[in-house]
Amino acid sequence: MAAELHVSQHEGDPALLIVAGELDTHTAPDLDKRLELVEAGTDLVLDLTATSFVSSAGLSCMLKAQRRLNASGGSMVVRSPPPAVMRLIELSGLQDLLELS
Amino acid sequence: MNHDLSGITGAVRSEELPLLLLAALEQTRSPACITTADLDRPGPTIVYVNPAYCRMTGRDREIVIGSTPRIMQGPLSDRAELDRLRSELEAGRPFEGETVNYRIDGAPFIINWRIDHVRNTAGETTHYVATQEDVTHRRRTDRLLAAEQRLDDALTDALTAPNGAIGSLGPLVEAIAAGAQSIATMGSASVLVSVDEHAHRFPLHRDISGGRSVGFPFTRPQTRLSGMLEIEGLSPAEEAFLDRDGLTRFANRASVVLAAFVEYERQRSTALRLQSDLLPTDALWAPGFEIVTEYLPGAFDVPVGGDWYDVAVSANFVVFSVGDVSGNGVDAAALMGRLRLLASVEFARETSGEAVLAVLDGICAAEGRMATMIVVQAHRPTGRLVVWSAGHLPPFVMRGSDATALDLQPAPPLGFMSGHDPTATELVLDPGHRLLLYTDGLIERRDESLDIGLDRLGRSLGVDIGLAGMVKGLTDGLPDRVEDDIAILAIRRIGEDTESAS
Repeated sequence: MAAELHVSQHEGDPALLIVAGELDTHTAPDLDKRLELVEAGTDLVLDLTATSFVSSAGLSCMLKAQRRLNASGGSMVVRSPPPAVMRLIELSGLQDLLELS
Repeated sequence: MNHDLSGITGAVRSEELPLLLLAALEQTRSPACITTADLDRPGPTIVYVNPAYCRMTGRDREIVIGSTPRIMQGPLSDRAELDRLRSELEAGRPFEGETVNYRIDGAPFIINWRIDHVRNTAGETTHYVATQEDVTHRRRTDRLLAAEQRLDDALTDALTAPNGAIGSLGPLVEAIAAGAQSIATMGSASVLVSVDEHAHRFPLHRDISGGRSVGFPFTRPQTRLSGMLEIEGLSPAEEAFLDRDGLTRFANRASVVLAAFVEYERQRSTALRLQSDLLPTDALWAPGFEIVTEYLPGAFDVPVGGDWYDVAVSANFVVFSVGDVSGNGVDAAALMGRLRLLASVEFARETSGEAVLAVLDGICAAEGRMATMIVVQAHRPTGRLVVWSAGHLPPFVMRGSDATALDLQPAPPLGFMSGHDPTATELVLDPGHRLLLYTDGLIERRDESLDIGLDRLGRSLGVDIGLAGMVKGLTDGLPDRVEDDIAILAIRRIGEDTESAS
């Protein structure tokens, strides 16, 4: 339960969510709630520079948000995942599905 | 001692100053009291109290002036604090302390007071001045908040305890008794909780010889939980001053915390039963293969994930699969059961792994959930394997002492595959060679890349110590606390399959 996650939001176009800490089973619901608040049709950048760990629950929450934004004419870009997170994305077959930058 | 008034004489005429000081003292809301400096019995005599003091103690000035401050004291006044007061003042030092005082109607209250020496120009103490404050409400609020905080901490500890400690209300009941004791400050707190037919008590043995007791019952009918918090062994004076409001509130909070824990325990045990029902119960068997499986529930939270393994045998194939529904608890386990059942039906009909994954993808997408899955279809006569992955970690194949993670091109996880069909990877498993399918809990660590975990796993698989020994080695090598659940399916091809259809 020690995992901590900080999400900070920055208005703009595209909108920016900076995710810092560990994105796991315990903290993914927090990010879920923040992502649900992002309005339909938004172009969103999810910055993972400071995200040290992502579990499958974290991936699930990103994929759901991307699906919802794409369906409403928006988009979601995952920016700067650290190497360990990038490796998880590759091993999970998501390098073509997630929009990465 | 000379009173240096030079700083204020400019603003107020010196002859007006005493009147101003008196008017201020008379009208401030801070209670103040001036006594003579006699510490020996009958003690100091009160020479002045302001109206705020009269309001706080309920005593008129006519009663108070000329009497001793001891008239404020009573059975709950702290003797040691009063002794300390005396020794501090005798030593020429100021005093600050807290005790219980009594209003004229006998109602006790907690007083915080400060006493300073009033010295004449020769430096002799002629009087004491005491400023006072009724802190009853503040102290009670502080104690209640601290007790509630410790109770919340105890709940967190109970929920995050390793598996062995979960299931017992003991530590929570003990924390409730400790909290009640700190709020009551008097007597002895005891707690009795009953859930269904089970009673939990703290302390187990009580030795209360006499005294009064006050009980604070609580109940949560929906959780079939009830209980009683009791403060025992009280004198009549203590009983009268007990913080009943605080204890009533704390008893209510305790019932909320207990109910949360009990509900959590119920969900957890339901989920555990569900999980064991949903995984294959009999030892898995397939012609031409030796199989060893293991399922480990996670150590934290509701320790039921959606991990599964399965083996399906049809005329031409044996299909091995391992999967992982993201998340945990009953919902994840229920979805896992559906996916496993549906897949086993399709595999028995010899539907291709690619098509089965597409069906399961649709179910996960409709449920808004994510799952990963690996499917290994073994051709019974030849040992030729076709492997498909939906976002799942690569299986290891062991040929003698060489352990290699299969180089797969996984499709996205189930629920998010649409438009990205899994690529089939083919290889041959010769007799004697081994294959390991597993879920991410086996290698995932927060502080390292998955590649490091994959390397470590690969190195541990090289020496062939038999399948059962290999699986035991894998689980023995896990850290003490693994949060995620883990499913392992280990396979060895043991020779030609003479019963196959072709």
